[in-house]
Amino acid sequence: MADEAIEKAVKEVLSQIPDADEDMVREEFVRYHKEFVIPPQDAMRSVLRKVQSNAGIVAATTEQSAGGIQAAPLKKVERLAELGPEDKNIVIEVKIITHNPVTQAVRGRDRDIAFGTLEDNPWGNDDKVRWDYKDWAPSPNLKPGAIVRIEGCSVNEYQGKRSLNINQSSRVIVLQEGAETVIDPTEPMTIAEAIQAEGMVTIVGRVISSRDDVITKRDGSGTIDVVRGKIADDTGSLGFLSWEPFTHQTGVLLKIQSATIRRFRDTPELNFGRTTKVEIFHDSNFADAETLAESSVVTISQLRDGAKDVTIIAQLQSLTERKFTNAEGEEKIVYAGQLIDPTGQCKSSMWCDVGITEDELPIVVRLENARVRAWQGIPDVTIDDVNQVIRLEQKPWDDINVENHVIEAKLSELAKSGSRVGISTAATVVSVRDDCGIIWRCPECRRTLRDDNCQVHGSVTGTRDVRMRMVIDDGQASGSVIIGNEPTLEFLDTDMSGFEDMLAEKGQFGFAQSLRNSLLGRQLKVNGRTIVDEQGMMIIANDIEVIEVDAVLAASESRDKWGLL
Amino acid sequence: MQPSSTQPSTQSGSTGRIRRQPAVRMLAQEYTESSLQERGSGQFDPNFVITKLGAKINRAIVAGLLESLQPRETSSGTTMWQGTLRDASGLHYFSIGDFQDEGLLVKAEEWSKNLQEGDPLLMMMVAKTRLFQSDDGAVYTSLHPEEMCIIDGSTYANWLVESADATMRRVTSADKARGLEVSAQAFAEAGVDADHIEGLVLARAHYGDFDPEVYKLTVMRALDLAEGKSGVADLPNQPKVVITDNSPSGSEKTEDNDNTATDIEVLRATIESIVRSADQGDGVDLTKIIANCQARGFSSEDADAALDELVSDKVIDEHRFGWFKIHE
Repeated sequence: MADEAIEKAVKEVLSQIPDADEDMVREEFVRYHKEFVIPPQDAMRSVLRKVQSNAGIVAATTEQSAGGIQAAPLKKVERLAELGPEDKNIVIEVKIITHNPVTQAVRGRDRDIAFGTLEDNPWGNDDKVRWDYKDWAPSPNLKPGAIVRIEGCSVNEYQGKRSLNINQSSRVIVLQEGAETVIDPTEPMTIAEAIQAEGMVTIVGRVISSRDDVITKRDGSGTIDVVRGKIADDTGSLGFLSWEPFTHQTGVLLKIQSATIRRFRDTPELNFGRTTKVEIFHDSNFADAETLAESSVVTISQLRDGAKDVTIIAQLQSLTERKFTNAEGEEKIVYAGQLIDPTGQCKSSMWCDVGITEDELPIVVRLENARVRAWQGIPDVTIDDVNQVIRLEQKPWDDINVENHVIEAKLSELAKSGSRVGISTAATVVSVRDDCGIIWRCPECRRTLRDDNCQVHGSVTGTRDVRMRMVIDDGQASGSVIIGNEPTLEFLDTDMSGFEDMLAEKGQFGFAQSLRNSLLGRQLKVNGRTIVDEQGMMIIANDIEVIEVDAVLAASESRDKWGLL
Repeated sequence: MQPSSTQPSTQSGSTGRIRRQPAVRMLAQEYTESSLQERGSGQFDPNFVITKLGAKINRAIVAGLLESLQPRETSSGTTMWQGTLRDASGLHYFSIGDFQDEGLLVKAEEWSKNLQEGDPLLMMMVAKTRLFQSDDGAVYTSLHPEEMCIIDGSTYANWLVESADATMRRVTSADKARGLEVSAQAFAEAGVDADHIEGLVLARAHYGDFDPEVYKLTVMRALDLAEGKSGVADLPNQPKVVITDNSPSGSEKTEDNDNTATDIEVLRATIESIVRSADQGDGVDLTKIIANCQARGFSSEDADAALDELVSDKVIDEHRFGWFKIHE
């Protein structure tokens, strides 16, 4: 059956190009059939192209009758780097990384197109290059993760950036189906999933807040009217920013299709643009606005730098007035507060007198629609208006021991959350840095000196400091631990002069080596605060302690857990 | 833009900086069976080895007995060290070259000398994972240590427990994904741990479907060792161990591997301990006993026969059909 079809296809090719090498043509069809499971009838055009390019024939005569492809010669390349800005009618094998179908108005007509990223060298292990592409006639064969051969695409250069145009006359042949997850960007996902996602998403959620806002363009060329707000479902809530007119009121249930997730600092935000479709959705079982608004109240551990419209219930421990003169010479007052809840501690900056007196403290407050900024990793809940602060009569939790308010958390959980204060965690020491010991700091800015030089202040006479640096790891996440002067001396059970003697004896490298011998592979408990950013997690330790683990006990716990007797 | 990603991204962000990859606790058996690797497209993107159980690892933390450590001259005239580390499940291969920390090269020389003098060296290493291919196309695993140190037995035991635990978590995920369509969505719906999904999808596409049960055997062995049990089962399919005596008078001798009699004793002791520890008052049922023996590397036939013997020897009673208790 297959042979018959192949013979028929070979004949067809030979009838069009009589000079072709019959065996080569046959081989090519067999290869498509066996390696890529492409039947000969589907491989016809590809084989014809190959034969033509081998024979050096310009694809003009046959191709024009086949639907008006540009009469450029076929250019077969392996790597994107081989392409010039004017290249057309290109054949290349690539891996599709992302694929986003959209509807776009082209010359006054709505057209379905798609865009995304692709990657060359799909079969190689070595360096790969990614380009954006636009598919002008969305091919069903373009799916994330798929390796395809694109025939007849062209290079588009715009503002120095090159991308590929997959044209209406191009062909896309799947060489390997994508094994990766395909999330259809038009299928709704939960808000919890959307928070983790990148790029295009579709969600169903209820508007729980919305207000008009204005963005001033950075170049001073004007302003843009936008709408900001928050949308929620029973898995979570997400801030949104609409660049298009948005008139839906609080409480309306919406299906939002093809919105884009963008991140500001650590906070994801749902952006509605020209291609986003917003429509009213009906689901009588969907949680009502009040319930959703209540469940979107966050805890201190959930605060993220850059978050907006945050509602939080916390205990205000202290509030101090601070006067300063700003850059414009105005005198300003800010009230700096300390907040705690059962999940941690943080700061608050109030830019108005909220009328809470010292003898009322500590007091439980509900802070509404606040902004969150972080300084050195410590979240700061910013209040601009007195109406954002509501006093609560009752504490929603038992007394918190303020003196000793330390939250125990797994290292991998800390790595996933924002920066936190007052935490304790334990994990295995996997690395001890060579620069443990005495370091010199700039007297101006406390930066570490390199060869008596400060990055900012140049050549300075440094002040001496002691610290240790190591990495702890729980198998799912790692954190860099910085142990300052006091906790270092405490851990080593010595004082400054004892430490100096020890260092004189062992040398700086010998000291790091001795730390390795005593700490690598051991469990270290660290109390302190975390700074989490895109480079990972840093833990500033207040104190550290090696924990002895009983292996026999741990083994029997593991047996219980996995049902292994 | 990666709409499919539901995990913390391993790709570089706009800053081009990459988060440090965690050190995965990994027994030698699982690692050395790997033949798949994934490389990121960017210059600084990390490389990963993907194991059959779907662990996607760039960095591993391994431990065991240093079995060999030998210098090799490289074509560029520098010295590199190749070594093997034996854990409860098999052998890790590693190499230390001049691409690594100089301190390690100095240490390697020292350890190599210690090894020749016959000192047993129990070691732990934090290492980057690497696959390489020989000229005939076979794929081998290797490790490039970043940190290496001598550890004591209790640190090793703790590592064994952590590795056993991490392996079981992967076994459980792989088991849930068995027989399913290879897609992240299907795996997620089956309750596979979120951090295993990506690796398992890649693993299944490359290695195919298989029964992860085999890994339980080495996990049991690791736990037995961590608990300091004697009479730990041999690893199956291990070649005969050839002990090379380094003393001048020494000759090569083959360890007596024909220890059927001992095996039966081990099996009987194993069954006894299973019944003893699993009996909650009503005795232990046959399936549980056999399954646990299998997990320790015994065949169900042998276990069945040994159990019959124990019953007829009145060590164990079958107080109810299919239920067993220690004879009192």
